[in-house]
Amino acid sequence: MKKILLIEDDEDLLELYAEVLKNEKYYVETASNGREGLEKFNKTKFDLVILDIRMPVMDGIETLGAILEQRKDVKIIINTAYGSYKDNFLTWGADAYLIKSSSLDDLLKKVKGLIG
Amino acid sequence: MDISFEKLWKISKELQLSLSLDESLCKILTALTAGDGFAFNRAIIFLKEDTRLIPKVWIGPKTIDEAYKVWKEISSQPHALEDLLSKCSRREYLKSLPTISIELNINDFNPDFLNNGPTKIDKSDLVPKTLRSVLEYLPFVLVPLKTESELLGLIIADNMFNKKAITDIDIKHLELYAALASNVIERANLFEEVKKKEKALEESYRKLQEAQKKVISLEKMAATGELSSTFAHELRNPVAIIGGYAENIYRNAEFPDSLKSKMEIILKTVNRMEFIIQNLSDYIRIPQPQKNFVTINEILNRSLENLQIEITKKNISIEKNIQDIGKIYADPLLIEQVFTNILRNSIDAIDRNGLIYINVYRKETKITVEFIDNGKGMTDEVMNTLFTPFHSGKREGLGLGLAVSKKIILLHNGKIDIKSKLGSGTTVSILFPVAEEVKDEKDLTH
Repeated sequence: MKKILLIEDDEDLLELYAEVLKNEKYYVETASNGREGLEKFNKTKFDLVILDIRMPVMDGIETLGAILEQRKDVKIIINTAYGSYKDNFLTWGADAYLIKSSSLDDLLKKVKGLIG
Repeated sequence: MDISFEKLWKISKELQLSLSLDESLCKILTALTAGDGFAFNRAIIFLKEDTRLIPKVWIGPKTIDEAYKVWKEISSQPHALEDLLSKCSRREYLKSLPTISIELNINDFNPDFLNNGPTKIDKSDLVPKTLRSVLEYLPFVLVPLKTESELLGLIIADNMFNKKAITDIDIKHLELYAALASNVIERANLFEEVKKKEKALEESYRKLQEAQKKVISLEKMAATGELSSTFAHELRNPVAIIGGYAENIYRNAEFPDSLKSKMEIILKTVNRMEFIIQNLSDYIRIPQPQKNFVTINEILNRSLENLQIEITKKNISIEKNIQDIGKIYADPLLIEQVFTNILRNSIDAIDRNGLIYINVYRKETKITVEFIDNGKGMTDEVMNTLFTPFHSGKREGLGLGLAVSKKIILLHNGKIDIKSKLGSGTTVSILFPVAEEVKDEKDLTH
C-alpha cells in the first residue's frame, strides 16, 4: 500500500482529501502545518507528500526544502490557492503543481500519475 | 488717384478688424489695388525674416489680358471697397491668392530706400535684378513697412497696365498708409505669436491630462487587481471544500432523481465560481505562455466541451467550418481559455435556439478564428468598454473575460477584433500568425 502524507492547514479539506485517497486504497496520514508534517515525515517512509503552501507555523516552501534535504526520492505535489507560485523557482523541487479546486479527479489523476 | 481722408479712415477701420496675419496682408493689398481705394494696378507684399524678404501675397493681374478681363468684370458689377475687403476674411479666398517665388534680401536695396518713407523707383539700376525680371515695369513705388525700431517688410505697387503716373500726393498718402499697415502687421504678428503659444500650452495641457488619466486608470487597475486577487485566493479554499464534498457525496451516495439534479446544480455552480476565481487571479498575472505547435480544432473542441451543458440547455447549434490550416504556435491552455470566454459570451447573448458559426481560415501569413453568433448584439456604449477590466455588460459578469483574452492573444502576437450589431449578433475575430512565421522564436527559446 502506497503511503501519502497530506499537509494542509484547512481541516475540512484535509478530511476530504484523506477520505478520497483512502477510498482509492492509499495509506494516508495528515498534518495541519509544516512542522507537524515534518515530524510525521521523519517517522514513516512516505511515497508522496501533498503540500499546501500558505500555512501557519511553517509554510509549504520551507517544508518543501526540509523534506528534499532529507529524502530526494519522495514525490511531492504542491496543492495551493496561489497560481503565482507555479513558475516560481521555489517550487521547482516539487513533481507536480495543483491549483486548489473542487475537482477531486485532478488530484487523483496527479497522485496516480506519480505513485500509481 | 486722389484718395479722400474719409476713405483712408474707412480703410483704417477695416484693417483694425482683422487679427490674423494672412487676412491683414490681404486687406492691405486689396485697399491698395481697389478702384475706390488707392487704385494701383498691382501690388505685392514682402515680409522680413532675418535679412531675407519673403514674398507673401500678390494682388492684381499678372498679364495685360488678365488685367482687361478683371477690369471688365469689375466695371460690369462694381464692387464697393468693403465688399472686396470682406473677401479677405474667407479662408478659401486667402488660399487662392497667388504669390511669386523670388526671394529678396535687404542688402539688395540701397539702405536709404528702406530707412525712409515710400519712394518712387524709376531707374532700373536701383532695383535688384531678380525683382526687375518679375515686375518688368517701371516706375513702381517701394513702400517700406516698419515699426519705430525695425523693418517689417515692404510693399511694391505699380500701374503697369494703365500706365497711370505715381504722383507726389500718392507718395504722401502712402506714407500714412504704410504707418497704418505696419501697425496692423505688427499687431497680427503679436497675435499669431500669442496664438501659437496658446496652442502649445493647450497641447501640453492635453498631454498632461492624458498622462494623468493613464496613471489614474493604471493605479485603479492595480488596486482593484490586487484586491480581487486577494479575494480570489481567499475564496479558493472554501469553494474547493464545498465543491469537493459535493462531488464526494454525489459520487458515493444513492440519490432519488429529484435530488440528483439539485446536486448537479450545486456542482455546476461551484464550477462557475471556480471559473470566476480563475479569471480574477488570471487578470493579475497571466502565466508565461508555454507554447507548442497545436491544432486549433482540438482546442476549439475542448472549449466546446467545457460549455456543453449550456449549449445543450439553450439548444444552440454550432456550425464549424474549419480549413486545414496547419498548426499554430501557442499555449493550448491559454488559448482554450480565450475560446471558452468568447463562446461563453456568445452563449450568454443568445436566448434560445441560437446559432454560432466558427470559421477557421488562413489568409497569407495570418490565421483567423471567427466566432459569429446571432445573439442580441451590443450597443456602442458596451462596445467601447469591451476590453476594459471590471466593466461588464452582463448582470453577473466580472468584466474580466475579454480583458484577459486580449492580454493572452497579445502574448501570442495576435489580434482580437470585435464587431457587433444590436439585435443581430456579434462577430469576434482572432488573428494568429502562422506557425512557420514564429519558428525562429522557438529556435531561440530552445
